[in-house]
Amino acid sequence: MNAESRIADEIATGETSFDFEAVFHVHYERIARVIARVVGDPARAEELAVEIFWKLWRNPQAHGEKAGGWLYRAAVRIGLDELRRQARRERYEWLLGFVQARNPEEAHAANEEQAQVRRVLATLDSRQAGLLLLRADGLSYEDLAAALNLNPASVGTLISRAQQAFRKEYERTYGKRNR
Amino acid sequence: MENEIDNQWVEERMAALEPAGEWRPDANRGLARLRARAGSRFTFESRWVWSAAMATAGLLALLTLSASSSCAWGACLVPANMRLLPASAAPAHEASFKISGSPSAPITIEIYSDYECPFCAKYFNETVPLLVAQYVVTGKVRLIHRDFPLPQHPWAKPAARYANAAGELGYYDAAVNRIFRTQEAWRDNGNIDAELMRALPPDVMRKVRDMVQHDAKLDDTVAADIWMAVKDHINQTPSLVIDSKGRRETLPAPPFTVLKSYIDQLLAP
Repeated sequence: MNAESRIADEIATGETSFDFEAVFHVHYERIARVIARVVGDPARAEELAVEIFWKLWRNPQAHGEKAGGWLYRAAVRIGLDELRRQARRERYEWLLGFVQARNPEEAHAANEEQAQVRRVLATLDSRQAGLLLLRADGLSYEDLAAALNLNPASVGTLISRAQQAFRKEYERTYGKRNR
Repeated sequence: MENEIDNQWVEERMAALEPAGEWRPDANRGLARLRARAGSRFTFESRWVWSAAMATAGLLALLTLSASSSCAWGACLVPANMRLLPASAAPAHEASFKISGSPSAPITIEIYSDYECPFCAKYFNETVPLLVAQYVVTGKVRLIHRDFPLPQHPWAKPAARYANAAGELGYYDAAVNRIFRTQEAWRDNGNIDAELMRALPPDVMRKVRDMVQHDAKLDDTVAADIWMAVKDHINQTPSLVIDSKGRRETLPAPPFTVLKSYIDQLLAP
């Protein structure tokens, strides 16, 4: 029986040694929020989150106690891929409509800032972008190391380098920032 | 100092990406989408295989698939035609033997289950005892067991009749535990009687048999629970309805660690 057949059989019978549903309930909300940070569209973020869990289900190597780390890595990757596609199509304006501001000027300002941050993120390498995104989502150094397969001792240094890379790219694209 | 200011500036930019406060990812909807996705994928792959097989064998296999795929990933799905409220008013029958725990408990948890659903059996065998020991016995949670026999399970309703008959005679918990624990033994042949007679005294078992065969009120108990299930939008078993602080919330039965965390959150001042 090949892997696809076995998975299909497990889905049909409900017999599996991996408590997929428990993992889903524990991680779904946070994974969707991480993706929403990247793509800016909550509805799309939830679609992509479902896609990630579908991939997790089909990837037995990712089952077990490392499932959480696998999910975060996949969330960052799928979010950045989506963001880069968006960048190519220059459709940011459509995808930033969920931010509520008090008036149209504020809405425009808030959306523009988000769009700039996302454009810069899309140009960084995936590990640096992932570090910044997951750190912003509140992951500890230890969790970041587990999620991104990093040496815990080097997480602080890598975050600092990611921040420098972000700043450099931001200034290159949008000019010197205000402090 | 310069670096700290720079880092803070980057953190502020990243914080600007925070999703709007009122949005919250909906795990139930996500799980439903995932199941739909799995179902369509499985159907597609099955078709590819069956196209190379004989037509009769393919038809048989698809029928088998249709019957078995109603239970997967820790839950048995409620068919769409069971999700509409009947035109009649709510049945008035509320069986007191299905309720355990203090009436003044701050949280009421209703568990919807189907006796033939394998995940319900797992939940009752593994999670419910922990819930009872840590929250029901201690007066923090009032527990109500509700029957939701699904049409794809032919023995679920007879099993509910046995359990409710035993309940009328004061042996509800013993019957429920026995039925769930021996589910694998009777699921194929429906011989619930043979399993239950090992858990109940002979005179009680005789009365239970008599009630199962003749007492129409046993169906009223089940009908009342089904009516509540539809009203609570239960779309799978096992499911919980958690009633606390005037709020009633329906959710797929979570693992005990998650449930415990949620209950503790509700109990916090």
